[in-house]
Amino acid sequence: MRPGPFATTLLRVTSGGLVWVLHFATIYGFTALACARGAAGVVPWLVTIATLAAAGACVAILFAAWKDGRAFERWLSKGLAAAALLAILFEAMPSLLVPPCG
Amino acid sequence: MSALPNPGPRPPGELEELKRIWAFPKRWRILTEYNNTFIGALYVATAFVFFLLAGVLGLVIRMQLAVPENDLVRPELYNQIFTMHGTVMMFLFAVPAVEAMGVLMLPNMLGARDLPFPRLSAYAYWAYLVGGLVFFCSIFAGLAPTGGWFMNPPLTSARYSPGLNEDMWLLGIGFIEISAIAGAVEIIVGVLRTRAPGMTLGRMPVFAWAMLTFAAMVVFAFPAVILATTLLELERAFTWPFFDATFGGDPLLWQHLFWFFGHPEVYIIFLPAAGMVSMMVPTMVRTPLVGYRLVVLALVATGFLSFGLWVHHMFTTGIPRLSLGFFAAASMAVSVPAGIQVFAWIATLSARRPRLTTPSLFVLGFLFIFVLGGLTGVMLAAVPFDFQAHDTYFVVAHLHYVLVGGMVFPLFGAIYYWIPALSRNALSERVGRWVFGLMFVGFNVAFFPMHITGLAGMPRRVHTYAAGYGWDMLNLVSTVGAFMFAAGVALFVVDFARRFRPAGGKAGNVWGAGTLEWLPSGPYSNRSIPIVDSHQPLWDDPELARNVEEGHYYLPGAPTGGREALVTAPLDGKPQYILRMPRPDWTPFVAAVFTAAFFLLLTGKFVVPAAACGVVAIGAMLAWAWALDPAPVAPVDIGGGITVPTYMSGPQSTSWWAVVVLMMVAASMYGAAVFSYLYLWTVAPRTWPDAASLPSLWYPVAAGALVVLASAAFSAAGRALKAGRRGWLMAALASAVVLLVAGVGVEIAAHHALSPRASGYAAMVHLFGAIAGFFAVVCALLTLFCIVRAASGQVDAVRRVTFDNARLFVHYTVAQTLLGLLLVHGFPRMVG
Repeated sequence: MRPGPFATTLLRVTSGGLVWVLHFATIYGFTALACARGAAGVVPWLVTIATLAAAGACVAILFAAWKDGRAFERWLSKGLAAAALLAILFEAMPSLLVPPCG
Repeated sequence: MSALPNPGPRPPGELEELKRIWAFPKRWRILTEYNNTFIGALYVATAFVFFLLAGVLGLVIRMQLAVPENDLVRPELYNQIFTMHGTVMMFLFAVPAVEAMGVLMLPNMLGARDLPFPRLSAYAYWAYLVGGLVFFCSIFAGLAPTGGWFMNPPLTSARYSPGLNEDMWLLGIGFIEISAIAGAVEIIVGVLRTRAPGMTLGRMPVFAWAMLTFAAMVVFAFPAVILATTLLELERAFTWPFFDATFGGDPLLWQHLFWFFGHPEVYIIFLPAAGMVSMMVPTMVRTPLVGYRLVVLALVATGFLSFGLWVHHMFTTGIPRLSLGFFAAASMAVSVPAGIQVFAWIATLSARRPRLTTPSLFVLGFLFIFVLGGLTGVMLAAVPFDFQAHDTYFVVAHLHYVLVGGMVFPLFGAIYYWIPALSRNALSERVGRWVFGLMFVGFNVAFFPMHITGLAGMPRRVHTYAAGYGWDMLNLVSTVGAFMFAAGVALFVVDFARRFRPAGGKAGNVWGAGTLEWLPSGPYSNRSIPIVDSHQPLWDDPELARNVEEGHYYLPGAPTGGREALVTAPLDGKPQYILRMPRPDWTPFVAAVFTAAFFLLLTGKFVVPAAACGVVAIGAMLAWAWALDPAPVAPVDIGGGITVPTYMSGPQSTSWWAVVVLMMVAASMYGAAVFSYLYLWTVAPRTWPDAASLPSLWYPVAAGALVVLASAAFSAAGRALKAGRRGWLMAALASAVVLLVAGVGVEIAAHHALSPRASGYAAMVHLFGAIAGFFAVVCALLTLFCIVRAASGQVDAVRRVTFDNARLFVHYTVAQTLLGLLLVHGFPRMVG
């Protein structure tokens, strides 16, 4: 079934937030697992890759051409993507400062 | 301004008919009334009573701690008192209070006649009232829980807390969670589907945005705590070792699940309060809110970010250091959206000199206290500081600044602000100043010193302390402040009793506010449903109130002859159809009382009476559902040349939306279960079996095939329904039930050789079987109900909502069961 206009709008508006959820779950989950299995070395790499991917997704949302729909929903979608981008970069920063496990 | 849809004079008797249809039943039948103004007002009042009760417990705590080495309260009772103070404040006051404000105010703010599922609110309310009162009374029997409001195992496991006290919490809170979720379904569908025509998402009042975010957060946060309480109860009652480290469980799993609920919970409480503030601030200065879009963005962003904070309650539990860093950063990041709102309010307030009415005072008090609480929050987000302050009175001070400042002060302001819309008199402004003064000064005198007491090392949850640590005077001052705060609340109660008069006329728009809840209204909300084209319609169109009252807008009467609501499109608010509502009857009330009784009797291990109550509750729900999905009648004209249908099935119907929200709740709970499985594997992989000792692959293949066939049978039933073949329809539905139950039966049988008590792994495997079984039973009930409806000729190609709902839920269940099979049979093979 094709998603209705509301489902499409909902996905677009919340897409930045969903990217944030995926990024946070990934960096938290993999760090916990890597530390439990004594693989601390891979953590910084994983965090870097996940962060670049998530930041890229947010930038894509910010610049996505979204012609239909109302100005308010478009603005909200981009605003949330911008907020998510800042949160993603800020939350990944500790990996530059703190050793992963221990 | 838009042209009026019904410009001419209205026929005589139309208004009287509307009033008659929406009139409350007389005498004791009033208990069957479900209208949002009735249930909403009772709901707010009940939540307030729990605030008073838990407040008295708080005063007892303060009396005990006023002087060192006090023996006023025994330690065992003290444990019950602080546990109940926290639990009642969070579960029986804060969440219900904001939900109640939503039920009470939203329809009026959105220009709706009522919420789309008003009987669900009534059910949620009665279950909460009965269950909450009995739960509270457990303290008089010495049966109240003692493990703190977050109930950490192993302290709360059967070994260390053998009595019934902790079960009281685990089961007693169950109905509150159900009640909150029922309310969330109601609010999401209500906000998205019953707004006045023209009220696009960008014109929605901020309070509606806040409640929408609130409800979405409830949908994703509450299932985690429902799962957690289920697991702990399974461990206590049947020794399934989810949290027992000796058997490959982990007590920290509880903390993860609890705080995955518990931290969003703080924002679940705060966001609606922030929404109320955003409604009051523009009225204080008669200027539109500065940065409406930014405020909405802040609400939605907080809704997301608040799910990334839960580990900051667990900084000292030995989690990897980098993980702590992620959560510390997220905890600091979440203060940004809160800051955006604070600056938006300050900017709005600076537009003009605010009128210092009582609601304004509470808003200013909120700003002061909440900002202080937010600042100590950022301090606690720094891991090294938290290591020092953890479990001290500094945290007690912080959380009270955030929760009392962020929720109680706005709520008092909101009560003062909206009472003129509900009562003949506003509350006294003169007394109001005293109420505010006592509460504001009392609060700061009580809680500010606790920052220092905490930094001086006083731990939380101790029933007394030795003299000479430098805590004596600080504690005495806190106690004096607490009583001052209580005096303010008591004064409010007196003024409320003296002046609140809901019957008769209303004081009306005494503050000169601009939003729809200030239109003249009755139980049916507004006489006619206005067209909205701005944020403050009452400021922009001075004639609006008169035209609404004279019936010149949409739906000025009750064209189908019963209670009805206008359902509009979720994005642009275009009228779509008329939702017909049943007459008040006893079913929601009976279902609620027996649901509460079920949970409470289960607490005392009275299994047979509990089961009997459960059966009565389900019976009442079925009787309730029987009256839904009425036969379609002719479309009606609502004015402005718009004729809308009076029946809707498929993705446009509100009941479809409710089922989708319910599926999100279920998916969220399932997600928490999958997390728990993977978490235990992460910390205790030794209990995971090798591939050779797993059940044969034929079991999951057979189970999977059977449940997929169940889905196919439902699809076949859909074709039979379209073709009008009732016999085939019923046969296909019956075979779907058999196939689904058989599939789940095969999966449960696959693990017969594994005792759930053997290990954390074994308990998890059986948990997935139990979840699949529970969902299969629900699907079977829904489908059998559908078969009976079809047999009585109440399901056909047009009148098919009952069928559509069952089909959605069965398809969902099949997908979920397949995922479970993949996890339980596939994952150990993958990692083994």
